[in-house]
Amino acid sequence: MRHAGVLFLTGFLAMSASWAGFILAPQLQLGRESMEPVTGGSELYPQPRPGLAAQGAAVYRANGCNQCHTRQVQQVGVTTDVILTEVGTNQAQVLSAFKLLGLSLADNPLTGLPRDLLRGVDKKRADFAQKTLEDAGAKASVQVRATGPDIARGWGLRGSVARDYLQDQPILLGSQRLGPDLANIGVRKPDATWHLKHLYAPDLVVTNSTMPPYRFLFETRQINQSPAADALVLDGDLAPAPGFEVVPTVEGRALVAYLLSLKSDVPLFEAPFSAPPGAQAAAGTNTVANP
Amino acid sequence: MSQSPQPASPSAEPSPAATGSIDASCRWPLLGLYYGAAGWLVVSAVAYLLASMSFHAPAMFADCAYSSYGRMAPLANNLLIYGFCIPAGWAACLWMLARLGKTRLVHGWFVIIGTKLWNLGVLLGAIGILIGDGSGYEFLEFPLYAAWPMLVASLLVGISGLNTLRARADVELHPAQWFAGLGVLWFPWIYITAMLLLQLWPVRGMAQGAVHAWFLAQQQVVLTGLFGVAALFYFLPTLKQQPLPSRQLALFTLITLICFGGWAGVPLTAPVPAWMSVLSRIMSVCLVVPVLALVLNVWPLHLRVQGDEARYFRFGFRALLCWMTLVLILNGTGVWRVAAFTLVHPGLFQLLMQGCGTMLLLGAAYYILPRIAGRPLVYPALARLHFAIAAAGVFLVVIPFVVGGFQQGTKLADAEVVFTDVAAATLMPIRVASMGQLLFIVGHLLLSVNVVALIWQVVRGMAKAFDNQPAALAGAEGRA
Repeated sequence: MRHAGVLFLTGFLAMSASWAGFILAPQLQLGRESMEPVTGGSELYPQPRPGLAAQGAAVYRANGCNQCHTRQVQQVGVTTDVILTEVGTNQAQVLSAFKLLGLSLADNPLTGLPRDLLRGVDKKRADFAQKTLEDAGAKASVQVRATGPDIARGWGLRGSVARDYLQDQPILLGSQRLGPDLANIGVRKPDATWHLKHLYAPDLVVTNSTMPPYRFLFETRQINQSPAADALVLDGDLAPAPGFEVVPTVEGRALVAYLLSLKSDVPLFEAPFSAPPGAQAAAGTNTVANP
Repeated sequence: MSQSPQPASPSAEPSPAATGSIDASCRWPLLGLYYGAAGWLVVSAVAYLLASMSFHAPAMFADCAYSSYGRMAPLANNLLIYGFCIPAGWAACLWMLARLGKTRLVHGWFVIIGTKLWNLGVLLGAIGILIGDGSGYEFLEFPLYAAWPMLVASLLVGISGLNTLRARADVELHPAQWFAGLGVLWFPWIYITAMLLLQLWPVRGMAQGAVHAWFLAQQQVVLTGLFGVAALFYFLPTLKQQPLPSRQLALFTLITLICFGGWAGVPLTAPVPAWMSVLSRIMSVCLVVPVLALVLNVWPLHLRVQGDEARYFRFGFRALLCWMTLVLILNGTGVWRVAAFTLVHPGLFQLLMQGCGTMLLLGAAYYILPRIAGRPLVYPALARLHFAIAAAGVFLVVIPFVVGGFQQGTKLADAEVVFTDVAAATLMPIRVASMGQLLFIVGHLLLSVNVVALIWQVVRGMAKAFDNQPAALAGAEGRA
């Protein structure tokens, strides 16, 4: 290459190609996304965060929470479950259908409805089972369920998708899991007091936690007539001196409001799932993955 | 590719008389760049160590927001990239452009002013992260008010580099000039794009993620690649006193690096349309093409090359090969799923930036500094010691991160493992890496000592010459 002009033209073309591919094209595809109704409902998703939670996003950013926590649930695939919801009047025929499907007849299979009949089967088998049961006069539903270690840990009901971040600026996806994923921490841990205690002294609520305490988000002050509503109840070494209380600062309260607002638990067109009743509650009481 | 590779002309060095003049033109602009870069490198290493302290004693900084891990870690990363790698890369590129162009550095004042603005921007950015104004985009955390002086500075340096390239004596460009020329101009192009679309007029939702991924690939793969390969193509043939084996392979390396590198930034885990992740994965694998072309050109040169600086180039080159191997394993197989969100990724970052980029740029710095100062290094033994300490530091940081990261990923993939056990698995690798960070502090301090001592000697030499001037003038008048 003899001429500097050719050199810079080459560089410009190479950069322009990647610019068109990874800036222009995503802008055309993702930049026009808008709030959409959730699948099977009329509520628009995602909603802008309310005021205090929006302030909390700034606290989350300022303190680099995304250096240790991701906000993106990974989904490996989907699977289907078949749930028997009604038996109908011809129980003998339903039991025949059970035999045809290779299901166990032990433990009164037609009682305790709704009841899981098949879990983790492919869609074709689930559809066949549903049709067979309905032909026998019973009613069964086919539930689509996301799979993967994150789902199994209860970190979410589906994988994260681009629409989940529509209201975020900046998007704080995170790239490290030195702490657990927080995409649905508002669903899993809906108690503000739990979060305040966790920020003040993580070991109080999570045994063997490796998270550093964030005591600078709290202040110790003299009790004015009666303790504040959000004063932390602390024992032992952590208890403040008599007549004093530990309360969250504005930043601390905002951060907790933001954490409680982190919920991406609704089914979308691009991320479908059909959660059986009680599934979200189960995820909320996750005992495997403590934050 | 050509059937008969043409060697790059080794002639490219100017005559000894011209060399002195060229180096003198680079003296203050480049000493300024190296002075700031060496200082920020030490501060970055200190910040890395402070960040890792949270994993030794979590409550150590419980009452101090400024020193929390969430602020120290991005501070360290940003200072390594913007404080050291970019200014040290510019310094090496400007010097190569002047030497290979057989011309004095054009608009050296632009570089001097640019250096001051750049360091001001880095200082503002560092303060911004500490007081909680960080942007939240990883490796691009400096706030907008720090970006403006940095952008102007990069344009000033770019203008100087471009005009030095235009003022060259020979029309024919040496391969190192291709890389160095693009190296001094690449950053303002990508930085202005990222700052406009992420901070000034931010795009919506995950479109920000795409812009961010594009910027990171351009910065960490392409820009580091341009700096590093320019150094390898200039210094290895010069130290070995042999021409670069093939211009065509060098051209192929350049084109494939800038074509593939810019696409390699989207993580496979990102919640973006699948085509982006897949395309990025393919391009990451394709990076093996420029690396192989580089290996064919440089491998014979890097063996048995003599000189203190040569050890830095050898180490940096081999670190690049290790990085490429890991990238191939991660992107070419299903291993990426185990490595996702683990310490493997900071390990890869450290391998690329500390093991490859920093080592190559340190080698260039130790070669260039005595020449532009017009006198040997004050403490050459410290430069040798710096290499040993920095190399040990790279091993102590990268190996625990990569090995520990895979252990962390294996546990993370098993939902039966309680998360606190997964988190606990990261403690030992990070604690071992702290020793590497400590070594970096000591090693990089040695560079600072050499740079400061050299500048002090240059200033003292100038002062002596100035003091002797009246006597010389008086003698001349007496003779008249």
